[in-house]
Amino acid sequence: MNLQGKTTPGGWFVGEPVTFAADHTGGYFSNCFYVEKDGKTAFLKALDIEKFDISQLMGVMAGFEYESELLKICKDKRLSRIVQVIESDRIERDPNASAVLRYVPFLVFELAEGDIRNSVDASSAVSDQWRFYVLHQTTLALMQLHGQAIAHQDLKPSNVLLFGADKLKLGDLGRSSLRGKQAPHDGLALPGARNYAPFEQRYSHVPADWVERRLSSDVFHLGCLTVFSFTNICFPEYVMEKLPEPYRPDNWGAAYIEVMPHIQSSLAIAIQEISVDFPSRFRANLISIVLDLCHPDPSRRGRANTEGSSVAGLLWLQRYASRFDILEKTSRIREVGKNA
Amino acid sequence: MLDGQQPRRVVPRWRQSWVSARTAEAWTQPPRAKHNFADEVTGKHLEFERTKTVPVAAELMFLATEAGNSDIARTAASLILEKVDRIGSKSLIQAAKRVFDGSNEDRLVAQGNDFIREAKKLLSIDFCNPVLLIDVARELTAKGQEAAALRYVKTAVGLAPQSRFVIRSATRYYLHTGEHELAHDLLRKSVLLRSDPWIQASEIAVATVRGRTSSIVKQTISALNNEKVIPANKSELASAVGTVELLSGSEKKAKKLFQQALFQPNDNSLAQAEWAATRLRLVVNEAALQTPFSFEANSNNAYRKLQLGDAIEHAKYWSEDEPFASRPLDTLCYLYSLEGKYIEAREAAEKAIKVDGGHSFSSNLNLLFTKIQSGDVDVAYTDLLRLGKHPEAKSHAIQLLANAGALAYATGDLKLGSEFYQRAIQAARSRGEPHMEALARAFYARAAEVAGDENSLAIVAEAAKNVERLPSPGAIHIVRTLVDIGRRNQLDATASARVAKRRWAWDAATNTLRAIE
Repeated sequence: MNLQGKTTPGGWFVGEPVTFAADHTGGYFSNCFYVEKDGKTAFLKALDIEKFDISQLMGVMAGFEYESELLKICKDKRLSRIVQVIESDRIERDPNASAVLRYVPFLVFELAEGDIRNSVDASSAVSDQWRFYVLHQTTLALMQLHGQAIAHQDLKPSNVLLFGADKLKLGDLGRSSLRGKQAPHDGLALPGARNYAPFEQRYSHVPADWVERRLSSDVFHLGCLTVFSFTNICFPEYVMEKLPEPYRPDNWGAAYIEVMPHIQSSLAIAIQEISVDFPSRFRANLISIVLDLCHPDPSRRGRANTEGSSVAGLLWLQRYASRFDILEKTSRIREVGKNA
Repeated sequence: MLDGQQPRRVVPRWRQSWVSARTAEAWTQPPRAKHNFADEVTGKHLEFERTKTVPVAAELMFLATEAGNSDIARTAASLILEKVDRIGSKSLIQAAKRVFDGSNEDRLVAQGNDFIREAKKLLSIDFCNPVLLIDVARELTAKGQEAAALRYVKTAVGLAPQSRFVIRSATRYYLHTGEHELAHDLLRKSVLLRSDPWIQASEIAVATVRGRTSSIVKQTISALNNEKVIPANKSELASAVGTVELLSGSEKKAKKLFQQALFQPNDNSLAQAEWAATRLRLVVNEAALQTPFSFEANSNNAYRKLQLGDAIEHAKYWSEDEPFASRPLDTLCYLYSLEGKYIEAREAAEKAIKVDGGHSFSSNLNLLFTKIQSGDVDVAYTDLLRLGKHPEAKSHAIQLLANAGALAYATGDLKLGSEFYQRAIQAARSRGEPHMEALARAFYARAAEVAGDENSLAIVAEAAKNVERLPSPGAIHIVRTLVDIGRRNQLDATASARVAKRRWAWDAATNTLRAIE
């Protein structure tokens, strides 16, 4: 689908197609372009309706519509850590097409420099301070979303976007879900990327409680991001490799709760292995963080040491925001001290 | 004198978690729906083609590996390995090497103290690890530290009451420590009892250990009767119910259930069928004996065929498979004694007493016998007096009398030796224990021969005549070494005839044995 040369109702002129966006914009379903207006450059994501047959189209359009609504909430509530939508409307794709296919929905976003993956590349020198900064900022962004009862559900390194030198925002709400409002993708076993899918989703286990079903997967993804930031390892897959064949998702046909102890066992082995890559002074902290955030039981995830306290639900990430903040500051102070 | 035919129940095996994962017990009916993420792999591959960086390569490598697309996974892994000198993450490099070489995850497992040390390191990371807690408990139990293991077992059960592995392992632990009621309660109260055939099999077996009949036996028999072919996950259940029928005297029903259990046996149901084979004239086919981990069944099968060397080898593997259990060691002691290898028999008996904490009267009797036969008669005499005063002595009177006979022969008192052995034989006959009678006669004949008893020819002849009609392969094995070639051939023919033969067809597709009548 080519929209080059067209202008949106808001006056954004559509330019070159964006090539980098395949992963961090939900780009499998969309086409992306640079757009310009008054000397400013932004980024347009339009639903690529040509990719779908008519039976799928309504569902896909509903999904796009749902994302637009969530982005509008984020904009209205001024969620500064979520990528801002600048314009949301429909653009004429082909004047000769039938009425249904003539227009495509689009979203114009502020343009990011890229995502954080390059900045945490395991083959280059990355400071611990930056890694903790990324984790801290991402936690704050998640808290903003959770505060509006929105679960992101597809938090992954490519969806943490970099603006300028160090401004981080969370992008791609294409798989997000608002509490109390059914999303078209809510019925999917794996709403987000396979690489980072929580264990329970791999076994098609769907907790009845919304917090455990939706927010808990964001918490899990934050744990995965922690591992990725230090090792570039996709943690759930790494754990699955440790799991004996009969207990793997494709072979396990009994209840998820019955296989959970085996996942827990493999998780401990995996963490022990990758912990050699954690900086020694933060190792214990990082191990306990990953263990808690990636706990196989969604009802216990992110809730370590909170038994009997009120720290749970929408506010459970507050502790992790503080924790990553402290770790970031600690790493900064020590580095200064070392250089001095 | 030894007892090679202790009663057997289908109590659950207790293996390390990673070994258990290689058995039928770990498998479930696979889910119908499988996730398809080929599109995701394609998308990530396109991104990789544009952006050849380590993070993107890592994402592609893990994704393609999971999808089973090894070519793409290797391409991604090779980029990571090209930059190996610059990558700080050792675990990422190891993962890439595994993908590139196409090797599986190797799990090096330490043994004994090393395992416990390594496991405790993992538990220090996360103590709430029920599978590992059970593994540690098993190692501690094998070292005779049952009390220390209890804490691990209790915690594991508390953390994972819905895990088949944890519940069955804990059950076996409680059986081992003699807490039969606790073992039974654990199974009876398990939420899995309603639906899980492995838990049901264990519950029925443990109920028989307690001398009770499980409340689910009736419905289980009815359900099994309705199944044309018993699937692998119900083999243990069929043999557990078969044992109940056997113990209650319904041999016909028991035989049918054991035959059902042998359609797709696991090592435990096979061992149970082997145990019941002589009594029920069951046929256990060679193909079934290839069932993984069926060391016990193979040992018993080789013993029945008088292939004592093979029986000993399998019993050694069995003992390694269940290092906390005295039963395989008792069997080893028995088999070595049949072979006249008393040093090895004594070692096995001593190990059995060590793992059992000295509680088993049978193991103590075994040790006594090996002490006598290895010439340690002074100690043996003291032990015999001590065991004779034990509360369980009365129920083991045959063995005690036979041991007294063996001791008297060993000390040169041939008359007294003969007298005790004859009393042992008489006791076995009056108690209706033909197996024990056969062994008493066989060991009597061997002792008389070795001691140079002037009546040894008559004693041996008497033994040879009687063991033919008595159901003990072990007795035949002993006596055949004492008689001339003609008589020996006759005894061999008798033993061979008892191992019934039948032709079988093996359906590889359904992993099913079918008898060709």
